[in-house]
Parts: sequence; C-alpha cells; structure tokens
Amino acid sequence: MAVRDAPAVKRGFLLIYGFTEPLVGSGRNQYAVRVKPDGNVIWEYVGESPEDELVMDTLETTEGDLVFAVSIGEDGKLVKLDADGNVRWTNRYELAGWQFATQIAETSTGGFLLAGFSMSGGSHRQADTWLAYCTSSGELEWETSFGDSAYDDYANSLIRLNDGTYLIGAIGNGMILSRVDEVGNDLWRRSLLGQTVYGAMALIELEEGGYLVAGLIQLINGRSYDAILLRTDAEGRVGE
Amino acid sequence: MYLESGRTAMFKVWHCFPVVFLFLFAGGASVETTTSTTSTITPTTTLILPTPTSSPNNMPPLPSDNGYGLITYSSDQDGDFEIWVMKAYGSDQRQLTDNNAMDVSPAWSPDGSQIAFVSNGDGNDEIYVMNDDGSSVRRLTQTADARESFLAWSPDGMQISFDSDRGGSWDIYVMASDGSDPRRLTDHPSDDWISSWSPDGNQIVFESKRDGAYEIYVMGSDGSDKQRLTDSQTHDGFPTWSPDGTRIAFMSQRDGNYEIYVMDSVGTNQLRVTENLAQDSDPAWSTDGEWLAFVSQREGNDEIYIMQTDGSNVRQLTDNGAQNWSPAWQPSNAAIDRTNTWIRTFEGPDYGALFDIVLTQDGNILAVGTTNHLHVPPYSGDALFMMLTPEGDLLWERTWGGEGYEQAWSVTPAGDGGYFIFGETDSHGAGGRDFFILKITEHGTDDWFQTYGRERREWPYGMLRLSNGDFC
Repeated sequence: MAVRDAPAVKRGFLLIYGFTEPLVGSGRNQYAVRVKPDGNVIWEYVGESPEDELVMDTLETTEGDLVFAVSIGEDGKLVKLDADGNVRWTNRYELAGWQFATQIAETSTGGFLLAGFSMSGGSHRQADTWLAYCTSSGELEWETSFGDSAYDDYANSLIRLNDGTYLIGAIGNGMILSRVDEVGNDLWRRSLLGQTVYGAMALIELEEGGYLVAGLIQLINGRSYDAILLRTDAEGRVGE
Repeated sequence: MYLESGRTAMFKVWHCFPVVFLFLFAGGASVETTTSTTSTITPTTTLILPTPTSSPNNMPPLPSDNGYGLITYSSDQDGDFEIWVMKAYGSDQRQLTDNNAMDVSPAWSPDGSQIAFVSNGDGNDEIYVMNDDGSSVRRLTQTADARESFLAWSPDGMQISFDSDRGGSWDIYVMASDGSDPRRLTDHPSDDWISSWSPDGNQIVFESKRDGAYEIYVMGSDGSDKQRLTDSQTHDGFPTWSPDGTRIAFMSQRDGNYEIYVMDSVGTNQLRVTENLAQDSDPAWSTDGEWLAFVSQREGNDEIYIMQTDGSNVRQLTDNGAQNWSPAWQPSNAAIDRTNTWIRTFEGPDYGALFDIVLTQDGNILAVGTTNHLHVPPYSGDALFMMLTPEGDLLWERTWGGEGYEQAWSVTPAGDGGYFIFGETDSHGAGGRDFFILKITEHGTDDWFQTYGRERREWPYGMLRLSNGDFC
C-alpha cells in the first residue's frame, strides 16, 4: 500500500526476508520478497516445509543467485535460489546439538562462511558462536564453536573486511567482536565495555581504519535496553 | 525497551531462580525480555541470550580487554617449565617455548611484540628474549658463573632491569634491551630483587631484605635515593607498579599467609585485596588498571587467577593441575588511537536498540532501530532513525510508526541520496504483522512506504540490496 506514488529510481533492487505464518494451520515458513526500487513486488517466495523454517540472512552470489541461511528445528540449512526465486538446491546440516547460521558471507573461494548460534547437548547447555564453512555447492566442510566459557553468546552480525578476513559481532556478556580468517583461524577477540548485556547488531568497516558497531545495551540490569553506537580502532579496541 | 516476541516464548529457564532472559526469537527481528522460573529448553529456533550458565549472582564478569587481552605465564604442565600465553579470559592457551630447560618469569616488551624470560637452557639461569609467537629466541646475558632472575622492561622499551648474583649477592641490574651495557643499581649483601618500573620510567620498585625482613623499596631508575615503602617485618614482595603510576600491588605474609595487597605508590593506604587460607602471590596489573592477575594455591597447586583490584570477581584462568607462575598482562602501548574511538549510548524510553547502520555520502552515519517497546498489549513503540556525525554526535532523529508497533531492521542507500528502511509494522498492512519498506529522502523526510505480507503474520530478519541487472 503505497501512500503516494513512488518516484522512479535507477538503482536498488531489494530482497526482504524473514518468515511468514502459513495461511492455514500453525508454523513458520521461509519468506522473501524481491522488490523493485519503486517498491513494487517482483516475486514472492514462500517455503513449503512442514517444519518451522526461518530465513535468518541472505546473500547474492557473484553470479546473481541468492543464498538463504535458514534455521530449521535445531539445524541450519542453506537454500540457493536463482534470481527468479526458483530453488536450485537446499542442504540441511544435521549435526549433534543445535546449530544454525544467523549470518552468511561469501568467501574468496566462492563458498560461504556461516556465523551464528550453537548449543551443545546434555545438561550443560550453553550458547556459543558457531562458525562454519560450506562450499559453493552447499557442502559443509568444517564447523567450530567459540565463546565465553561462563556466559551464553552467539554471532549476530558478520562482515567481510577489505583484507579478506571477517569481523563477527555477538550478543553476549560484553560487546564481543571477533576477527577470523576464512578458514576459521581466530585472529583476535575483544570483549569490550565490561559486564552487561550487549548486542553487536550491525558492523561497518571504515576506510580510514576501525569499525562502527551499532546495537543494544542493558544499562540497568533487568528489562530495559538502550541504544549504543561505538567506533573502535582497527584492532577492535575502544579507548574509553 | 520491551521488544515484542510476536509469539509465545518457547524458552523456560533451566535454573531454579529468577533470571532475566533476552530472547532473540525467531523473527530475529524481535528481541524479547521476560522472566521465568521453570523448566527446560524447548528445541525451537528461539534464541536465548545472554544468560549466565551458572548463578548470575556469582559469576564474575570478563575483564574488558579493550584489545589487550593476552596474559603470558610460565607453566610446567608439559613436564618442565615453559612460557605460555593465553587470552585474559583464560581461553586459547598456547605454549610458546618447548625445550627441556626451565623457562620462567616472562615479561612483555612495552609494545607487546616481544617477551623476555629466564631460562637455564644453556646451563645456568640467563635472560632471553623472543617474539610474542615464540620465534627468534635470543640470549641477552652471558654469565656462566652467575644466575639471573626476575626481569622488567623499562616503559620506553630501551632497558631491562633484572636480578643477578654476579656480584656475590642478589642485586638489581639494568641493561640495554639488546643485552648490552649492564649496570648495577643496588649493591647490598642482602637480597635485592624483583623490580618493576614506574610508568614514567623515573623509578624502580623492588623487594629487599636489607633491613632484616623482605620489604618493598623504591629507588630512582639510576639506583639513587632508595626508600622503604613497607615495614611489615614479615615478607612483602613481588611489587608491581600500576599502569597509571598511582598504585603498587604486592604480596605480603603480614596477615599469616601470602595475600595480595595494593598501596599508593608512596607506600600509603596498604590494603589487602585477597583473603583466604591459600597462598596468593605474583600480582600483575591489567593494562586498564582495573584487574590483577595473580597466582593462587586455593585449588592446591599454583593456578593463575584474575580479580578486580578491589578483590571482587575472582576468576580462575588455568586449571591444569600443574604449577603456573608469573602472569604478565600484555602492555597497553600497542596503542589505541583514543582520539578516533568513541562510545555513544542513547538511554531512556526514546531509545531501545540500533539494528543497522549505513554511511551517508558525506560521511555521516544513519542508524535505524527502535524506541522502547512494550511486548504485551497494548503493543507500542516506533521505528527509530538517527543521523549522526562521524564522531557519533546526533544531527537529527525521528520516529516512524502508527498506533501499533514498528521496528526498523535494515537500511540501505536508495541510489538517489535517499534511503530504503526495512522493518516490521502492525499499524499498517494486510493483516497481523507485516514487512514495510519506507523510502526516505536524504533529509530524512518520508518519500513513500509500502507494506508486504500475507494475510497472517510476517516477521522480518533483514533486507539485502541486490545488484542491478536482471529486472531493469
């Protein structure tokens, strides 16, 4: 419902994504809409799995295909579509415990780096950041988890840096930033700002060096959250 | 903010005490806080976080490493003492030396790139230096008939103070950091050892038995003007200067067993910061001066711990059953450009979270997110847009919404100077929660908006800006 006519713009095809409730019954289906820059819909994609499926993140490959990082049950799943919204392949990763990607980025090899959430099984269930690599055809090659040994945390933002490494932001105890290379080596990890709940929801690498981090902070223990924006140096540090 | 979940919370607390959970539930889009006191995790896609995995009231916080998160130490966990390094929260423990000698007493160079240490690999205790990855080990002292021990770098990295018995008794010496030009700073028949430089490089604090009992002394860095700082008549030792120069941490036996103490750098206000029946020793300051690493026998053997400088939030870093000695925190001179880092928080009911940011053509920052939200009826809250300078100062802000509930989750340039903002709305659309795209101008005013969704509810995770091409 456009409130008024949208002006024509030359750039900016968009894909918006998340999940939708089925028209009948309960559940959650993958949902994505390809949108013209004037706001009009090009196509709408609705997943048909009987299991709950959520499109957590997406990327456009260099060939113009779309790859969805999907959460299904306690698993992660990749779905590759062509530019018209037709499914090329899907691949579900059924590992022990609970893992799925909240973030996906393309690597120099044409594969996909996944960052997200993991939780081991058993009585001591703790959330950590999950990091995994899938080939361009969606085959899982390696996966690992890391995080604070005392608190739950998981990746909620991921960007590819100019040098080909990756910056991961997490929700956790402290504003947690991690830099990794595309084979999963931990280059550094920062837990900034001390003990409280933080979420690094969005990251930008600055040309002059350093990173912008936007997110949320629990300044007062309890139910209240506030907004935070910070700039780090190139090593992910802050001076305050 | 109280962010709406949009569905019944699927998680229940698996601890038997009230605890606050942050649910980033499916729909990513929404963050919910709630409290609960019952049972088990239901395996769904709901995310929980962050929640202490044991009592939240007792778990210590992590040190805010601010980039200086490494601690080096010596450990005999492989059978003989080697130099190790780990992150300040205890993870990623790595062995840097690997030989049959006894490698102990590591000390970081001020730029954090090298570690000097003591080793008997060549027959007796000598001082060596290596890169911080363990490579390029070089010997700095050559005293076949004498021993060297604890060392400390000068703040400018040009000199190293150390202990040696080359003069017949243990005294403090100093040499250039390449091992040249050794000079004696103390000359007393009793033990003088374990030195630490003041941050301005003008003074050295050390341990001495010259007055009968081991006490803490200070002298000029040229060896002049020696003055006693403590007088416990027991054993005060292992002094180490705080990064800001105002305090000295040390260990003392004055209260019956070895505990960690902190005093002003002139010797006043000597305060105990540990209190237990085990031996606590070897304090080392974090680079922000807010934490102390130390060695404790509270688990029976020498393990490395950290605590805040008031003694709170003790956290065990090593747990290997071996002997772990001489922790040293990586210095801060791997300098932060403090003029180019900043933190801005936006507090109160008008600010809930920022979920995405984009740089504008003129270098400003457009951030989108949400105001405070109520996650129970009557739902309320609006999408929040903020334009900030490159330094994080607010230029303008506005909200967008309706009678219901809106949040903005993504922003991307529209190509005409304006921006597309994507989010969720229940004030507009086909039914239930829907997606929205709001096009704003470069000045932040509305251009158009449109909703997307089916008859029931949708939850957003994000917006991807695609390349041009196939639908022009």
